[in-house]
Amino acid sequence: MLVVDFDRFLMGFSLGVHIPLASIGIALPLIVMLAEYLGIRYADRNFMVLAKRLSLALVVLFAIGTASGMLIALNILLLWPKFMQLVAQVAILPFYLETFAFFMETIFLSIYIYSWGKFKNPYVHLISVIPVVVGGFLSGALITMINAFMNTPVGFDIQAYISSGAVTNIQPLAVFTSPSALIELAHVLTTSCFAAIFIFIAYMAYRLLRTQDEQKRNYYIKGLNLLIVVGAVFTVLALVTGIVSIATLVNLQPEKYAAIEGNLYPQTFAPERIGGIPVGNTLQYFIPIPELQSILATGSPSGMVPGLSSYPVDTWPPLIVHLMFDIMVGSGFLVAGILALFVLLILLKRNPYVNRLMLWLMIIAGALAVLILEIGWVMAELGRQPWIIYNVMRVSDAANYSTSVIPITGLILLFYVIAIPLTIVLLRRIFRNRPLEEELKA
Amino acid sequence: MNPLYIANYLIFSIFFTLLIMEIGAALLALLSYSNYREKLRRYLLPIWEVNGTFAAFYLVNFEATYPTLLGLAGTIYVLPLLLAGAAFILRSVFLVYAEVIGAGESEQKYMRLYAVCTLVMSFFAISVLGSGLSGIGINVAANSAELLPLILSPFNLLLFLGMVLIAAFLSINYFEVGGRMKYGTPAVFAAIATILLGISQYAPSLFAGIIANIYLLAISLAILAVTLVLQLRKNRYANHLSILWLIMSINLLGIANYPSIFGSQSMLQYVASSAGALPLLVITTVGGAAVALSLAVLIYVSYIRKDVAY
Repeated sequence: MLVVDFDRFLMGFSLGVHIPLASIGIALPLIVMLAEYLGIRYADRNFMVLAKRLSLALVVLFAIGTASGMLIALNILLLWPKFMQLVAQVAILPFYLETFAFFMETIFLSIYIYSWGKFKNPYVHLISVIPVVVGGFLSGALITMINAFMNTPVGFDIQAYISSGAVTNIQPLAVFTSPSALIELAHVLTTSCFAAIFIFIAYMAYRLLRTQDEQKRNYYIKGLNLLIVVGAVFTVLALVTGIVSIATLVNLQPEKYAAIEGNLYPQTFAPERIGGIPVGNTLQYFIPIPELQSILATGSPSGMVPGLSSYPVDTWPPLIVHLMFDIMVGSGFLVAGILALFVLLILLKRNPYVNRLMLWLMIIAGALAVLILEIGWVMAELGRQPWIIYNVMRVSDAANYSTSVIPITGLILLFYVIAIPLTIVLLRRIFRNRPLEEELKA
Repeated sequence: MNPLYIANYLIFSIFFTLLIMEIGAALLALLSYSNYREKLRRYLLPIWEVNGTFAAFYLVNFEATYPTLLGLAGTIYVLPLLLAGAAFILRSVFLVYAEVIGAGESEQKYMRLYAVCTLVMSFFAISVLGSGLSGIGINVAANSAELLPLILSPFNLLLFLGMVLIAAFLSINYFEVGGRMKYGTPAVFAAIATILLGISQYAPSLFAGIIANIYLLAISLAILAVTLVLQLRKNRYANHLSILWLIMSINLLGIANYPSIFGSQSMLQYVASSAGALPLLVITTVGGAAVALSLAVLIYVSYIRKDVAY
């Protein structure tokens, strides 16, 4: 059991670091594109400098993200060989297509970075970042399709596989239309953008708090205006797709749904349970909101929602996912509240950027957004336990039991422990070597 | 020949050529970075991320082409592949640090670290290749491997030395090091001799394949001869041809080795089902063409002069 736990830990830790990097890789090209467009359209140097400086950060974070992504690909192959063997036979095409999306990002990012000032028409340079944006979203969508396959497997004869281990009746294109694919990729892409944009909102708010220079303040305020507008759009989209996503679990992964909602028994007129402490296989000390769960899940207060008691105990996910869900939703509402406060200040004709409390709240929103992203993924993956592929393959059946994995674990953890802080230090040095005031004047 | 095998080998040959070219750049960065800084940056900066992407591309194509081999390969090669992966990550990290940190001591320091990581990564990657060709260091029936015999086998060492010599040959000519042809020609012939020695002694089935298809070796040597003549004449296409020679030679080696793996097994038993073959080939063809087109745009843009300020 020890080796499986190592496999699990290494995979979880690697993904925990990789996911924020990947999210930045999806959202940042979009922000760079919008900033450069605004810079060209309104001949505004602030936005041009913003695009240029963010693209520099994108290069560094993209490189670290790519390296980390390669490690994840190796981890999946080496830690879960039986899982990968099945995926390779049945659902490899999204993985394969993703490499081309990745090529598109990589090649056009190089073109974008090394062609600043090379075209007479600045819109030609702007066009070169579009494939980076498209590639980023496609990469995220295609990888999410593999996760959707893990949640709702399709494309082969599942009964034959379970009974004999034979992979038959393979339909390699079915993975693109697995039942959870559409809603899952909508939710993953929107939450990724939401989290990544709020990281940059927090950074810009922090810089704004620290400077009195008018020119710099103008730059950060314009950056925040852009980020907050885009961030607000993704907050709404993340919320809507999140509600739909939970509702689809009722039919697609009822055990996961029941554990997330803390339902021990199936019931009608089900209350939404806020908080609570898992005691054994029950949830206690929660605050109920009458009928809300049934309404959200089925559209009717009398709607039936699933409960764990309908399933064998050894297929129950850990009940801790309920608390994770509450933390995620609660944090989401806090971020939405901070955004609402920002809008309220504007409606009251008060400048939110001179309000230090507002700026601190933006920094807190950034931290909450990362928490939401991480805890959301942990909840989604824990909620599928004990399965790596739902109702097809258990995690314990997919793992690599070779003890040689264990010493390598240390090396990989060391990489993340060293490389991530070093990257942050490096980014600080890069921007210190390129003073903002000089770039704004140039 | 199985079309999936051909496509996978073609991708492998381009990936491996890019890897060897990077070994060449890493050698130069390690030994004399300050003298060749501009040339190295001009070559490496636009392309290093593409090389990394090619590694991922090859890995996923391999997974799609040989799905039933993954359980075995993932178990027996777990250590060298994870070590190569760790070195790959550090190589990327140090290179991007060197790229953006600006000229100075830090840049040189990061470039040297990048070079060491590239060599370490290549060593472990080539040890997996060598073991895959020969079966050395692994027990397929027992689904196990021993790391030290695998990476320190004479075959692996000879293979790695041969690759480094080819890298030196490419690097000497590409970056115009120490005068054209002065060290390049001996390096490439030493490389061929080293690799052939290793194959003849430790990979008998591959050697038998080469002997049975000796014309393949003759083709490779003929292209090399043309390359060397062009280099003597300082023809601008000599470097392009040397890269083409390497890609073709790796493919010719693949033909000679077909369909062996692990020394004595047949690779065909692991090839993907017919249901998956068609979409895989279509995506490879269309996607490959799109990548080639994108790379052409990258090369075109790299030649445009920077003369507009905005």
